[in-house]
Amino acid sequence: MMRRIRRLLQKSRSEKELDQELQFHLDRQIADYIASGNTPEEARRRATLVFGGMERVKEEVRDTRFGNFIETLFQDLSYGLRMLRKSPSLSAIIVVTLALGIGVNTAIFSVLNGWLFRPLPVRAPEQITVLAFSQEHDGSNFSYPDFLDFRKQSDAFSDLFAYGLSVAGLSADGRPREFAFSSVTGNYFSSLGVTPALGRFFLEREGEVPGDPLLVVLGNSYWRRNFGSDPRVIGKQVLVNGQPATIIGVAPMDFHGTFFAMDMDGYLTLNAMALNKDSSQFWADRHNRQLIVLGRLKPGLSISQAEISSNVISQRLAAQYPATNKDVAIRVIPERLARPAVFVSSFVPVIAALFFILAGLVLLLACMNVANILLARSAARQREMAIRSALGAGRGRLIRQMLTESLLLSLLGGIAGVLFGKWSISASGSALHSVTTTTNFAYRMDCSLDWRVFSYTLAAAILTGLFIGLLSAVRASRAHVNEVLQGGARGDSSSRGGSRLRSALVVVQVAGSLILLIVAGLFVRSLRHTEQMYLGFEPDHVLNVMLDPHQIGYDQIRAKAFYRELEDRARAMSGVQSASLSFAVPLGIPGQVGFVSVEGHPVLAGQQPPQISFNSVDPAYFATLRIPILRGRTFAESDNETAPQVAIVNQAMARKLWPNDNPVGKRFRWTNESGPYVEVVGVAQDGQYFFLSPDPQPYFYLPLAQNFSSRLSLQILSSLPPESLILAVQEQVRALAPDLPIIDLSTMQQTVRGLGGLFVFRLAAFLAAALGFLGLTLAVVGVYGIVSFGMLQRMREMGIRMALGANRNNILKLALGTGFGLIGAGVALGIVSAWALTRAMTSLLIGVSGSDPATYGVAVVVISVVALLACWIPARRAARMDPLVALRYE
Amino acid sequence: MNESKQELLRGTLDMLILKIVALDPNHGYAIAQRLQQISKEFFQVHQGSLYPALHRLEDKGWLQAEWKESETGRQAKFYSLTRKGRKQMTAEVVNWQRLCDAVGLILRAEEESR
Repeated sequence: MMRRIRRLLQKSRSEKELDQELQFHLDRQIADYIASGNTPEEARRRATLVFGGMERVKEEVRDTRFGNFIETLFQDLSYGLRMLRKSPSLSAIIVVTLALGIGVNTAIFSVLNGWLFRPLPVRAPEQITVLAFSQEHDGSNFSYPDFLDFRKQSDAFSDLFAYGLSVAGLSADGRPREFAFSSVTGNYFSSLGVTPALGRFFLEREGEVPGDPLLVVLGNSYWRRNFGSDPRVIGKQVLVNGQPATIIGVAPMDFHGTFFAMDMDGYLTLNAMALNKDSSQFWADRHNRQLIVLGRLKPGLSISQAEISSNVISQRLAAQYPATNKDVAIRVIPERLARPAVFVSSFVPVIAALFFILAGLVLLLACMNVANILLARSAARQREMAIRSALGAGRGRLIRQMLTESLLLSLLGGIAGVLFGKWSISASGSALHSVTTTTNFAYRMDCSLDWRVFSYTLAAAILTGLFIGLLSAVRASRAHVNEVLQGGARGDSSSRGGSRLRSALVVVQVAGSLILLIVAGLFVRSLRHTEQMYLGFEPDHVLNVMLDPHQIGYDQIRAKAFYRELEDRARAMSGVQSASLSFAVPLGIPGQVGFVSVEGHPVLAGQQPPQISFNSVDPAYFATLRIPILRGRTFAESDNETAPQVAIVNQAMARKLWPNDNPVGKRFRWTNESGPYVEVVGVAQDGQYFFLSPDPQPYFYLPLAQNFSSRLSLQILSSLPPESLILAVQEQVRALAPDLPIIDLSTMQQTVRGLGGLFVFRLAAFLAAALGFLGLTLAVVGVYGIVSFGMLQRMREMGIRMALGANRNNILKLALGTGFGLIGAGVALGIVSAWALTRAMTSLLIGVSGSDPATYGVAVVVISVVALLACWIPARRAARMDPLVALRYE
Repeated sequence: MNESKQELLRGTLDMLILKIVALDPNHGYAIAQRLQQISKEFFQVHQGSLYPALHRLEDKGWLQAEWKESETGRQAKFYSLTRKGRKQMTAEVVNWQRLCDAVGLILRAEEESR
């Protein structure tokens, strides 16, 4: 080995030695021939003939050497770099094209990496699993008593821990601030294996007894943002929704909690789940399911073993508590696969797969373009290749040279692609940020580049390089030495294979960009549809103000009085037509969930009554948001605490519970079995509630007076632009309660465009359109390049045809005819592939089918027109050629 | 040299070179000459095969080379057998013998059955 390395270092010496060795051989041969009676010239001629080319022998000797690999690599690299420098603009075009293709892939991969692939920053993250609780196929979280039983009885997990999500006001030094936190079990941090940046974390079982003091661990970024990284926060007394609590620690920088895509402001002991509420429900009621349960799998145990063991426990519980726990099934899911939430059927894999395919298509188109450029160049380089092979380079060596060059290009493209990808992420990241700032939680999209992204990009670049390299190398090296050398500079003697390859390139490019266009078109049409969709309410001219006087310690009576006064003041402002209060905001703040059972239809034992979302609203709500009441009446001021309980249901709920009856006058219950019945007094128009969805969801409304909550939104309908009211509203809130933070202040239109509403559709449409445009551009450039080159190659033929009497129209027809055929084939291929792809997309589209003929039609027309134009320009140029020039063209 | 001889040579060249060098350490030209001579002009080894083979064997550590003065007084690269090379040659010769015996048996068997 050492000797080989030494030889590599002393390359020139070993080369010289090889020279000497072979020269010696030749000279001896000559000497022998002379000795056997030849003249010196004759001897030299014969010896050289027998020897058969000094360079060839040398090349073969070199090939046998081990160090040779690296040696030729350096040779190829330096030669490749020289070729790049020789035509810098061409190289730049190639690198930029590849950078676009690779960059798009890098961007999409890094988003998915942040979402799906990156593990939690905890000890042995692969052991962390999420337990999914489902009853009668309805998924839900865990109740605390169930969690305790699982923790006690489970032998598959070294630890089970849990958390719930809440929002509160945290006042430090008299200033309350919005605080989104996880209430966690005492073993949460120790099981995860996270160490505090400052202070300490909770102890085992700490805070799991109702009377325990409230303890706070601050999230790192919250601590930096609101406490200026002050280490003296440890031991500080604060108020959480008016309850005294102590800060005991700060979480490390890279830990953001265990809830997908959110950066927790902090972590409280589990007793915070029962803050300002009747705590016995949380600690004891098995119906009260609010905890997300995670488990650390014991080493060596498989997911399915853990699942079996968990279901043994759940069957034991079902036997023990049939009223609440019958037919409960537990699934154990690796944490990474349980994103975004364990019982939300995840659309992420579908979107991920789709955008991977789209990005892959863009890269494929980029490859096609580059392959075409390289092919064109390799035609020009055929002479060079032929000469090199005449001088003794083997075919393998030539292919290697080409591969080295294309890999060099693709790696450069990869580097530029990473930069482009990073830029496009930060561009779309800031777009995302602007819509999420109005919501309560700090959303965190971590798309930073890590080794996974880099290895993905590297792999993409290498594959790209191999692909385009092989495509052009095999063609170029196949050239026959003699034909090329005799064929002069034209290099057209073996262009048939080349033109077939180019035809294939045109077909694939047209097909690929057609697929991209169709997908983009479907997303855009879906967005159009959702934008024009009737939401069940009118979002225009409405301003939402979200408040929670609990945060400054108001009790219910004070809070009610505060809201009454605020509503009156809002109504008195100029231009205001109506003002109302509600718990939920459609497409913004989700409602509460009730377990609904209809009077006269008792829920069978052990069965879960249907879960239906509801909103608590005051009488003016329907007028402010202009929600039509189709039957019965709306709420009145008389539907107060002391009046009989009433409800308004929507059409979908009426259809679901009373399919053939008038629901007005019917009664149902929405809490547990002992709860009171509420009477339906009206039916409201169906609408959109939490997420935009094409199917109407059942929903009902309760009078706010009968189901009060201190966290409410005030809606103000005004004849003026809603933004103009913001200052006045802030002033009124300050005048009434100077310390009260405004949690959120946004127009209803902003909410509709936000995360719960159109945002996802806009993002998808934007991304798909960007990819579609990129694909179309690449295809146009590609088709144009390929057709022009093909024309150039057939210039002499055209000249001969013209000389034999063909007129310009004949030539144009001939040139276009080829294009027509190829584009037609591409369109057909594209339609078939798109058909297969878009069928899988149907679940992502609203109001448009995956095989929407209008979208297909428009996309086909666009691609055909553009591609034909790309053919027509070079064809016309060919037709206008002077036949004499064409004939002489070399 | 016809095709079949070429084929035969390709498979056995390494062994033949090792044998020739074992008899007498020498330079490439002499090795080629000896090969031709001893085989009574049956094998004519081409430089394009000889030198790659020599370098390959040197790389494997079966041959070692040194520059020495040749019989004409010029410096030439002389190849000699290493211990590893001798072992390899012995093994290959044994293998070859076995192959020849086996092939001979089969060929004779065919003659007798006619």
